[in-house]
Order: sequence, then C-alpha cells, then structure tokens
Amino acid sequence: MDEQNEKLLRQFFSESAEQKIEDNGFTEKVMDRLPVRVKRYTRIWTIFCVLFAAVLFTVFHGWELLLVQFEVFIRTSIAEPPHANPLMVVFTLFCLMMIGIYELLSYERVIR
Amino acid sequence: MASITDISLVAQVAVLGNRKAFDELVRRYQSPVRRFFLHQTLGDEQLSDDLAQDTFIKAYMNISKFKGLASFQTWLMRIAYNVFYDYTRSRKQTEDIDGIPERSTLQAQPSLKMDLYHALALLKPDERTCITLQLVDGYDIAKVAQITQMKEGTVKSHLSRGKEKLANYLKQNGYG
Repeated sequence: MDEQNEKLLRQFFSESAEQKIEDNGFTEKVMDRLPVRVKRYTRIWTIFCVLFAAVLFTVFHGWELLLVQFEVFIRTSIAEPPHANPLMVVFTLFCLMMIGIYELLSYERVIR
Repeated sequence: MASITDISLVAQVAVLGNRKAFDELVRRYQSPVRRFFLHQTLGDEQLSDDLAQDTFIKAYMNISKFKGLASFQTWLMRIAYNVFYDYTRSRKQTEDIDGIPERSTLQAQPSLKMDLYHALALLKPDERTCITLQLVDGYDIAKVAQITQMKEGTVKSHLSRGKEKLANYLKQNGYG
C-alpha cells in the first residue's frame, strides 16, 4: 500500500468520516423498545427501606429523641468525648432514611 | 449536559436503572453506530436503523458488564459488530434454505454515495468492516482488532487487501 493510494482512499472516505446522522426520532424509537429491567426489585427494596425507617422514626418519636439528645450532646460534647449512646442509634436511622430518599430521587432524576 | 461523562451515565443506568441517562447515551452515539451499519449494509437505511436499535437494546441489557477497560464507544462498536455478524450469519443460513436474493439499495443512492457503496460492495464483509472502522470511524489497528476480536495481523491483512481493491476501483473510475 503506497502513500498515494492511502491518500486517495482517505480523500474518498473523508466525506463519510465527517458525516453526522441526525437523530430524527431514532432515540425515541430505541427508548420505546427498551425492555423493563429486572432491576425493578432494587426500587422496591429502596421504598421498603425508606418506609421502614420512617415507621421506626415515628413509632419511637425519633424527632423528640433527636432534639433531646442533640441538646445533651451539644452541652456535654465540650466537657467529655462522645461515645455510643441512643443518640447514635437514632442518628444512624435518620441517616439511613436520608440515603434511601436520596436514592429514590436519584432514580428518577432528570439529567437533561 | 456535555460535562456528564459516559462513565457517569453508564453508572446511573447500571446502578439506578436511570433510563434518562441511557437516553443521553443513545443520543451521543446514534450517529457513529448508524453510520457503521450504513456502510456494512451498503446504504440500506431501514436495515441499518433496525440493527442499530438492536445494538442499543443489547447494550442496555448488558450495561452492567461494561467494565470501563475500553471507552464506551469502543464497547458499543464491538456490540454493533457482533450484531452485524449475527445478522449476516442468520441471513446466510436463510438464503441457503430459501434462496432469498441479497438486498440491494445501490440504485436509490445519490451519485457519490453510490460510488462509495459500489466500492464497498467489492470488498468481503471483514475487509469492509476493517476499512470503514479505520478510514471512516478513525480507529487505529489495535482498536479495530479489539472491536472485531481479530488478531492485529489479520486486521492488517484485511486492510491491505481491501485498500488495494478500492484503490484499483477508484483509479479505474477516474478518482486517481
């Protein structure tokens, strides 16, 4: 393959190489044909976790515990180092609930 | 929008099942994938779009297998090549049984495109694939080998033979 032939071929294919095909509804057709993924169970599990955390939070009056423990924590944290206590449990539950909500929102997030 | 990387979009599809993220990936890569099929099918737009749709659906179903070792586009082109390979194999079997003639759309194309597809029609399928992946899509020999799963030496042979045929054709038709 000499350089002359290579140059000739590159010229011949140059138009094709620059060709951009307009979408013209192609993407919509693909999206319409996409099967529902088995991953649906992930969403169901997420909703279950969020609901479970919300129920626990309500049943155990998590907001009261949070407020009281937060106040105690603030007052005592300067005097003594924090250690495992009910506050940590409630706070962990609260964080889990927030993560669940975030995942649920991310699932539906519009990126366009 | 352009700032969102392919990897980020793939992660959103694979982990969160985000269809909007996949919508964006299809928009980004529909042009090179459809163009690849247009050249392999010698300009059959309907067939190209059908095969391109199959490619994206396969990509969606197998997106969790994308490990990021190659770029997303290279991974997608590999699926496209496999889709076309399966199509040609199934068509060959059907033709062997039913004697269905090969589809041809060459008459429907404008002059320059017609020359392009006539030229590509001279090549064997593997030669055509290697030539278009290199000269149209701009992949180097290593990437062509990765997409087609051929050895680099085989790719080089296909390129050499294909280019020789094409150069002769072009010279005979006043391009040289």
